[in-house]
Amino acid sequence: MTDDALDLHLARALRAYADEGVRRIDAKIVAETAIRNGSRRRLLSRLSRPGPAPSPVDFPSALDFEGVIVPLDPPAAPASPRLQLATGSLGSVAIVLAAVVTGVAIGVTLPWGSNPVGVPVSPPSIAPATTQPSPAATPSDAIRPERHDIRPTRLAAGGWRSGDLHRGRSVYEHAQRPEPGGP
Amino acid sequence: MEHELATPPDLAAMVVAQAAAGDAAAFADIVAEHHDDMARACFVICGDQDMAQDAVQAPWSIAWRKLTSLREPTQLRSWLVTIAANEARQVLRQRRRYRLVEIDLADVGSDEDDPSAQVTRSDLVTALRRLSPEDRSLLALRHISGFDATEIGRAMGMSASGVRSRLMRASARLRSELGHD
Repeated sequence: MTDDALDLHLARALRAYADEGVRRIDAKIVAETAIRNGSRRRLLSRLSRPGPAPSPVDFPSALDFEGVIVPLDPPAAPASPRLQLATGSLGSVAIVLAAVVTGVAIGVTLPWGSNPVGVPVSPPSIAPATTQPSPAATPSDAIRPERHDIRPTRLAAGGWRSGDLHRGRSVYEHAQRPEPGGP
Repeated sequence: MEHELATPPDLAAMVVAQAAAGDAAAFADIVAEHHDDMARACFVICGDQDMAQDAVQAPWSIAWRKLTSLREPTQLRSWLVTIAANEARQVLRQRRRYRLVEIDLADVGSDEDDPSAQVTRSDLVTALRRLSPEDRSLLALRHISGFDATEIGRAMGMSASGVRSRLMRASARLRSELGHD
């Protein structure tokens, strides 16, 4: 018996104890589950780490698998570093995308509903009075029909209104308003 | 105690090649062939049935992904058991918590001719729990999986001589805990 050997009874007891860890499994189901998880992890790995694949090794050492393995049960298991890396990349893309969408939304809504001087603008009404230039408005602030810009118009109340919206409503109302001499 | 592959080397190599090429049926054959060996080692390391089952299932997805990196099919068994043993230690670290040990009085390895040589299960469980997870890994890989010092060293990132000396101490401690020294 060598120094690291166990006596017959102890070795037999240890093997009998180890046999308690064996459970009947369906190898096909275990294999299918592993293939599903392995394929997903392989995809995540490729997404998170572009570039040439690492060279194959004859026999992976213990360190190759440290911190890499995730249990099959996703909710209870902490994400692996590769998974976290992939999630981080997707998260970054999502943040950038959200920022772009927000910027576009602000750019679209600013000329129509924003108020550069901080004074609230009342909802546009379709009353004819709102379509007429305010007496308090200076000539330079008035809409110049020859220009089709969307420069905001200063109102008597001190607020600002988009000139384009103003003009558009005015044209619409003129079209809808019956002519004084008409039927 | 050296375990041998149940299938001839050529057939094993063919199955590994087929599985590495994406054959799910061949991979299922590998699972059926090696799952129990991995479960035994994981159970000795973890000392817990549930943790051992977790530890023995997770490595299969790694095996599926990295099977193409296995150049020597005869190393398949030691490769798989190594992955499982490493996973078992990792699961043990993650879930280090107190668990009640089921104590039954069933003897394992009993010898009616020599009652003093009997090893009760509860004594064995208690003795194993007093060892570190690394020492249990050494004992499992040596006495359950039948690895030699070089294979254990490769699996645990140690030199073969370091494995021998540490295995000697672990075995002596286990014997001592059980009063077999």
